[in-house]
This record gives sequence, structure tokens and C-alpha cells, in this order.
Amino acid sequence: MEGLKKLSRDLETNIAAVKKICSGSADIVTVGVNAGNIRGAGLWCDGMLNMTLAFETFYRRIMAVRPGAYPDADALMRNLVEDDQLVIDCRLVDTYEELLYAVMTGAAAFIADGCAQAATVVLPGFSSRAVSESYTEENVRASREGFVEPIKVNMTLIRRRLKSPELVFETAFVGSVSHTMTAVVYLRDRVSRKLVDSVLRRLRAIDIEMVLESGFIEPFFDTGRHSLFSGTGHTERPDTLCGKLREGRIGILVDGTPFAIVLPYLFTENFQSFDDYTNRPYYASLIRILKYLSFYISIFLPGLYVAVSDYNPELLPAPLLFSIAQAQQNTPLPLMFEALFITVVYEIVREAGLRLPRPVGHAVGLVGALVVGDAAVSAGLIGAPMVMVVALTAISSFTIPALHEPITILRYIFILVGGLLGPVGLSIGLCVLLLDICSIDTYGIPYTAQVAPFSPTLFTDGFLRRGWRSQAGDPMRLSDLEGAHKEGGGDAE
Amino acid sequence: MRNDAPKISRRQLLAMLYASRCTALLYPFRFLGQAYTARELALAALLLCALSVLAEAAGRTAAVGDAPPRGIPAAAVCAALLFAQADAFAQFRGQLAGVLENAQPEAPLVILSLAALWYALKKGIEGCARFSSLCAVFGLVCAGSILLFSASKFDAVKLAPAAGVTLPGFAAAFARLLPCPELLLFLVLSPYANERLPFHSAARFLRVQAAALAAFSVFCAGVLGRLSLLADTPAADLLSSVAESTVFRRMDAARTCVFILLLLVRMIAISAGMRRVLGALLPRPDRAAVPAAVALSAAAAALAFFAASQRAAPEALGSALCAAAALYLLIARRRSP
Repeated sequence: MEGLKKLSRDLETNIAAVKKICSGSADIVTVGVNAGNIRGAGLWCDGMLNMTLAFETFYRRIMAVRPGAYPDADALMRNLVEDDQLVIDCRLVDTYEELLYAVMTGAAAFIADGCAQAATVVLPGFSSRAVSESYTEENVRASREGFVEPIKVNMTLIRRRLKSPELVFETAFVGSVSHTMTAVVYLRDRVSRKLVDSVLRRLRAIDIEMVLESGFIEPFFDTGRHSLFSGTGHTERPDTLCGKLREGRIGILVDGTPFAIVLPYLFTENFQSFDDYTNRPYYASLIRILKYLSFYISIFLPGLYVAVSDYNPELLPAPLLFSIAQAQQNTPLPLMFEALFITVVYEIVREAGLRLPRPVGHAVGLVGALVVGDAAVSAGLIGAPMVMVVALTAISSFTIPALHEPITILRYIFILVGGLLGPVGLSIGLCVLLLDICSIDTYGIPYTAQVAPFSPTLFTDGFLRRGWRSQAGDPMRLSDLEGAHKEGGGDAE
Repeated sequence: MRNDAPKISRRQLLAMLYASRCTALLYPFRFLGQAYTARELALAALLLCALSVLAEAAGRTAAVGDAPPRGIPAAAVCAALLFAQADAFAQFRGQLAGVLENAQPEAPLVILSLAALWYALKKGIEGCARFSSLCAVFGLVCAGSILLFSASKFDAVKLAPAAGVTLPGFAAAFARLLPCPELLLFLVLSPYANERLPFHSAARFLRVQAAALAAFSVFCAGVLGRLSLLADTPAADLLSSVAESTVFRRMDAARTCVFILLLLVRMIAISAGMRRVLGALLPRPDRAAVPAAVALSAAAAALAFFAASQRAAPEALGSALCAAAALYLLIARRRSP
């Protein structure tokens, strides 16, 4: 590959090679920049570089070099790097690959005739979204800062919250085409080196062309393969990530996305939010219990309704049974198909509302709820109780956004199982679901840790939450959990 | 063989066995056709506790947990587990009979339960153990709710019909209290544990389950009176049907769900034991042990259907075989260096 070749000492050869590698791309700019009597060229990527800063701090100073000030180009380059007064953080690169990577990440480069190295200084000038509130993890009482796309900004957001020398960022580049910068972040005194090495090994072994979002690489860290549930999580909030790091987890930041990957990730974490830690503990505990309840409602309620109504209606109170029977009398579809139909309609409306611009999305939601739902009941296509069941299910699922994907799939499965095999089928289905959840190991820690195997932390920061006064001196650590491999996890596969 | 790495703790293994043993509540007050009373069961529990204390004293320093048996002993253990599994399937069918009132066929549910067993074995012993400990909690909550909601119906006078003691009844009660499949599983599954299991764990398990079962039975008799003796319906089911509050009138349905989960735990535990033993019998255990264990479980299900058609129960034979196999494993271990 030409990009791996070393730079030439000849200026024209270097410029020609750069143009050839980039196929004369319009945004790669080369301009003649002479340093005294040494011929040279400036190289940058249009739009990526802060031109004003680059000119003021880099190119202008090169052009200000007096003729004869340096005996040759090598001396000039050495001086550029060593003399901090000239430019700060100037770096020499040897290959076209390094040179072009630097240029494409917003560096100003200088190539001199007679030197087989190029000087680069990173001065990015591309526009990016300002630090703003997280869209996916809104909280009532918490910082309004969410992660943004540039990784360096995200690293700063973490460092600002954890001013500790124990906080470590280790970077790696992923993607054979995108060369995306990633950073593994952890607190050195909370995580075993073995676990960090395991994560870094996986990160470096990822064979993918492009990484446009952390979701592209998340499956490579997922230990719950062939499972609906994942042993990795993600967050858009720097404060949440800092809390996770404190507990002995590892974060992975990916350039170009506001979502950081968190691992290991436990099942109980899906029911936690940052507000839990700012609210009074009894209220936070109540909310967590409600979320667990919502999880089971959102998975089981439609299936249970179908199973009980079809197979064991005697379990229902008589007034409810009569109203269901009355509603069902006028509908053409069996209960199971009715449940499937309205659940599919709900998912379509949800998806449409999600992808459209917000104002239109709201309108779609209204149309779905009022027009389609009401009209379908009035027309006798579906029964009113079923609409209520699915609506309650949908609302319940909104309380646990982290589990939206498995909940959606499981809801269909349990409607089918409940409709075809009744309540006993649901019990066996519950058995399989629990087995699936219980069998995941995430980096040496059971996914269901705290619950099974049981750990007392379930009642301090798990199912319930204790107040800060009693929790502050005794923070939960992953390594203390029952069932956690004391050596710090490692490969779970 | 990642899933075979011995990772579960002693507590998890015992939780698995306790959850499995909870299904003893789902038997009627009879064994081998011989009915027994709550008093006989309580006396038998006392005797069993005394024997377990003696056994514990005798084997204080002993530990269990070695390589699985091989050859003919392994085949014999498999046969014992097969009958124990058949008994579990018979219990499962008994529960289904109580739920399926619309002439819904049993076969798809039995096949689904076999699929669940296959899935459990594929997921490994750690997942099974964690699942079992969850179900053990469900079982405790379920038992607690039964006791709570039926406590007001307890009347000591109702214990009178359950106060008789006869030798055949006492023997039947004693046999009922022996958790033979669980003790065999304790020995077979102990190599999965991340520590050597002391002998007193088994003795304590024997005592706790006997005491709990006897206490539950006495309570059951105090609530149900003569009904508990006459009916062929499992005592726990009967008690569950009367344990209701004015708000939650059909809690027995939710409890049936828990009972089915507990039965699945029992079947999974026995299948895990089969897999462990079959691993020493089959040439390629990595690939063959799971399908073979599921096939044996399917055979056990067929056996349960056959036994039901002959109006027989595989329970006694399963218990006897499991007791013999457990004794053999204990003695063989003692003799081995």
C-alpha cells in the first residue's frame, strides 16, 4: 500500500504522492510555503483546519524564518518540534499514512524539500454540536451536559468530573477506512489490569471498515451472544459514566458519537437512572420497584391477557369477564391475532413518530392513538379492553428505554405462546426467559449479579437504594459482587 | 466446555436442590398408596433429623465432590435419574391436569418443557443455578403467601383427624421425607461447585427440608382438616386454593405458575445430573452429552405417560434407585484413595 511508504526527501515527489493517494481530492490542499531559502509546502484538509490559528501559529512563523537561519531542512524540522516558542505540540511524521491521517483529523502539515519527514500540528477547525442536554437520558435534577460527537470534548467532560490521577484514557483506532479514534476510560485503582487488557485486545482486534457510531463496535464486546439481552450498555451522560467508572466499570468513547459504551453492564442497571441518586432514597426505591413491575407488565400483560381469556377465563373476576366477553362478541379476530394486530399497529405508529421531525412525529402519535385506536374500536375491529392492555403495555415499556429491544421481541413471543399454549406455556416461556437472562456472563461477572447470585448490595444500590449518608463510605464495587471472578473477569467467551 | 467450568458456589448448588425439593409439597398425603397423617410426618421428620445429626457426627470431616462415576455405576446412576425424571414429569402432568380445563392437549407443553430443558443444558450449569436460586425465592414467597393468607383458617381442632400414628403410615411418611433424587444430585453435581462440599451440608439439607415439609404438612392439616387426608390432590394445591384474600381471589393461579417453575427446576437439576454422568459415558461429551440428556428426559416423559396409563407412579422406584445410587457413590468415594 502506497500510504505506508516513507516520505521522500524530494518535495515534488511528496506532493505528487499525496495527490495520487488522495486521487486529487478537492479538499486536500497543498500550497507553497518557504522557510527562508528552504522550499516547502503546506498541506491541510479544507474545512477540517482552523485556518486562522494555523496561519498565525504555524505557517506565518515558518515563513518568518530568515534565509540561512538553518543549514538544512532537517535542522528546520527539528527546531519546529523542539522550540516550544515557535509552535506548540508539533509532531514529525515519517509515512504518508501518518501524514494524511493527521491532515484528515484537522492538522496543518509542512513538508520541506530535503527532509523525509513532515511537521504536523493539530488545530481542528471543523464545526461540531455544542455540549447540550442528552436526548435519550433526560433527568429532572442532574447536569444538563451530555456527550457530544468530538471525542476530545467527551474526554474533557469526564476529566472535569473526575480530577483524579487514577483516571486513565487509552486510545486506539478502529476501522480500516474510517480510522475512528476510540478511548478506553477507567479508574486504575478500581479495575483489574486483566479486564482492561481484555477490552483493549477486543478493541484492537475489531475488523471493520467503518465505525460511525458506538453501536457498530458494541457487538464485539457483547458477551451475551445469541441472547436478547446484552452484557454491555451505553450512556449519553458523562455523570452517569463517571458513576459507572467509580463502581469499577470501563467506558469506551468513540469519536463521532455521543454514546459511550459501558461494560460490564448488569441487568439491574437497566432500571437505574441518574435521578435515583439525587432523589430521596425511599422515592428512588419506589421508582425502581415500579420499573421492575413495568418490565414484567410490558412483556407479559398482552400474552397473559390472551392466555387467561382464552384458556382460563374463570381466573378473571366476573364483571371483567363479562365486559371482555361483550367486547369480544363484536370483533372478527381471535384474541391472539387481535393482540398481535394492535401491537404491530402500535409499533408502526411508534416507529413513524420516531423517524419523522418532532412536530410531525407528535401528530403521528395523536393520529395513531385517537384516530386509528378509536376508529378500530368503533368499527368493531378490536375490543376496547385489548386497546387498554396494549396501551398500558406501551406506557410501561417507556419506563425502561434501555430494554426496549428485548421487550418488543419478547412481547410478540409471549402473545404467541400465551395464545397457543395458555398460562402453562407462559410459565415455561418465563422459565426460558429467566434462563436466558441468568446464563449471561459479562466479563467474569454474572449479568444477574446482585439478584442471582444474591448480593446484599441489591438492597443498597440495586433493587432498592440506600441514602448517600450510609452509602458514601461504602460504595458498591463490581469486584465485591458475589460470583464476580476476583482476578477481574477476562474473556467471557 | 466453558459452561462446564466448576463455577457455582455451594450456596447456589444448595439453592438448586432446595428449589427442586420444594416440589415435594406437590405430593398428596400418601406414598405407595399408603396414606399418612401430619403427626406421622412430624414424627418421621424428628427421626430423620436425629439420624442426620448422627450421620453428620460420623462424617464430620468428610467432603463430597469427586470425578463422576464411570462404566456400569454411571449407567446405574443414569437409570436412577431417569426414574426420578419420570416422577418429575408425572408431577408436571399432575399440575397440568389442574390447569388445563379446556381439554387442551398436554403433549405440546411436555415437548415445550423438553425444549426448555435442552435450552437450560445448553446454557450451562451457572445459568441453571442462578435460575434455580431465583425460583427458590419465588417458592419461598409463594409458600409465605400461602401461609399468610390461610393462617386465619388454621384451627388446632382440625388437627385431630391427622393425629393418628400407625407403623405403615409412619413408614410411608418417612419414605416421603427422604429426598433421594436431591441427595444423589448433591453427589453428582458437587464437582461443579467451586469448593469441596462438606458432608454436613448434605445432612443439614436433609434436616431443613424434613422440618419444613413436616411443618407445612401440619399447618396444612390444621387448615384443611380431614380434607387433607382424603383427597388425592396435592396438599399445597388445596391449601393454595383456600389461601386467598378479599382483594386477590385467585392467587392460586399465580402460585400454580410458581409450582410449574419449581417443577422445571427439578427437571433441569436432574437433567444437569444426567448430563454430568453421561459426560463420563459418551465418547464425545462436548457434543453428545446435552442431546443424550434431553433424550433421556424425553424417555422419562414417555415413561411417565406409560406409568399413568397403567395407573402406576414412578416415584417409589425412582426414590429407591436414587437412594441406592447415592449410597454407592458415598461408599465408593470412601474406598477410593
